[in-house]
Amino acid sequence: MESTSLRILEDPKTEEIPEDDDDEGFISFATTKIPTYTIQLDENIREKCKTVILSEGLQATEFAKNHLPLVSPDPIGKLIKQTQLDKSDIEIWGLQYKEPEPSLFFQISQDILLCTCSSTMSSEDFYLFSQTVINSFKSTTTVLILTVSASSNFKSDDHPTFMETPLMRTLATSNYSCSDFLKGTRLEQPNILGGVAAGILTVCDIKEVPAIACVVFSSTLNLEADMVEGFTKFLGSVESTRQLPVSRTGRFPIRIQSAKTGNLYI
Amino acid sequence: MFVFLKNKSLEWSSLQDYTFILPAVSVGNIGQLSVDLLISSLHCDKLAKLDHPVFVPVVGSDPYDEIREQGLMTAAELYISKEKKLVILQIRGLLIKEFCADFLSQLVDWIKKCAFVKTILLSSLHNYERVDSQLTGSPFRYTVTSAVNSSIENELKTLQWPALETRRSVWKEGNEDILFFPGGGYTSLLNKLCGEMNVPLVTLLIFCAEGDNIPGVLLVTGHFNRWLNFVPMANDAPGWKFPASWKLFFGAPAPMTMY
Repeated sequence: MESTSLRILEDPKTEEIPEDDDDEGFISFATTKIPTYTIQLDENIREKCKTVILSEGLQATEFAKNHLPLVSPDPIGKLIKQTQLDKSDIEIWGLQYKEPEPSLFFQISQDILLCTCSSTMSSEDFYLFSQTVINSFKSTTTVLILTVSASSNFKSDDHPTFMETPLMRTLATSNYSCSDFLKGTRLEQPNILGGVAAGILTVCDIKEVPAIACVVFSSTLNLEADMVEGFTKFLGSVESTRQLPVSRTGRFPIRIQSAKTGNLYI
Repeated sequence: MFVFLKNKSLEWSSLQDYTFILPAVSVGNIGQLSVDLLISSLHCDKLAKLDHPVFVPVVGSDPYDEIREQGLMTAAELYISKEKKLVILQIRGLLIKEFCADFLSQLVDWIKKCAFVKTILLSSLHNYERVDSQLTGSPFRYTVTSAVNSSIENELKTLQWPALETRRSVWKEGNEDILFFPGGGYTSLLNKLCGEMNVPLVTLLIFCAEGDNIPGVLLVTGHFNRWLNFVPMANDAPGWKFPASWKLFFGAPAPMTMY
């Protein structure tokens, strides 16, 4: 995309709005200015990186941060969304204005980076975010995406509760060379994948970057053993992460300070 | 905007005697489902992917051919049938409004470059916005831009298709009649742009609501096939092949153990 050649409705108020203008089939940015994404990550680190693991969603991010051997729990870089939200537009019914959260980069090894995707991204952000991430690395980099979806989203003749656990499926770009195990777990139609995973796979497919997404279907909101097993099996089947020591038990989760324990009435 | 698949590159000028079909992302997804049916039934080959920020990403396995597996399915792709001289665009997700003008502008420029024999837009409109004369009879309608040549207009008149009625503008003063496309996605914008750029565009559409619109899809594609005769008939009806992506349209069955 060449941003200079895009003809965008900068100020919709000056353009004549057709009488039948409705939002059927469309979504819009919340602002009048198109947001931009900028990456803050050392170029040397990006140059040396051979594999990027992206985690989308709270469960996948929790798995990545607690079960992968991070060099440090502190991020080494971030990807920021620059937007011009008008606060008065956002404060409706007492809802507070929320700054977009950055996506964070962590080092796993000299070759492998982890990117935990921001939870504040919306559908209109996926493509721009994905383009920024993929354009920041060499085209020879392998991209892995971890994501979780509700088991009710999985379409099959058998109900998901009767299917194998963990219910894990993969989807790869055309030039990704899959192992037999990963070929056997290909996400079959009529199932589709959206979100950041779809954005990343789309951009990678067009730019011929080898990429594969792993989606674990689950009926819980928290990270559970099935998800850990699914992601671990997946990472163990990928050439570049086969040797990665993935912890099955993970680090003990940090206790939330505000959570009460013991007697409910104390 | 177009990224050819490996070994599928061709000169756009070679598509001069082809017909181009595209869907509108409109109410009931009529256009998109109709295009699905055409691609599946005509065994079209994937030609290119579209790279533009207007598309909300969606991916999956090949929705039409589980055997041939033509690679990763993305939000917008171009298909070709050399046998039927057809080029078909499929759009599978929502569009981002702020980028739509640029996308349509590039698309119309491309249509002009290819100089297709016919460009056909498949769309739908909200059925609650019908005027009195549209409440009875078939919900099927068509419109043409001024650049459509008279032979095509005569073909459509021979088929005795009803043209989309104009209606009085509510916003503008006076007695101006306009073509009104509520729920049609970019149908209105594309028709306007093609009119300005002198691109011949035929729009086929039906009035519908959200829900199970397979009958509506069969109505549009049936009319389309009666005109252009792409899909061979079988027992007095076109031999449609439903794609794999239409399986379990409304989700998996409920677990029987709950009863």
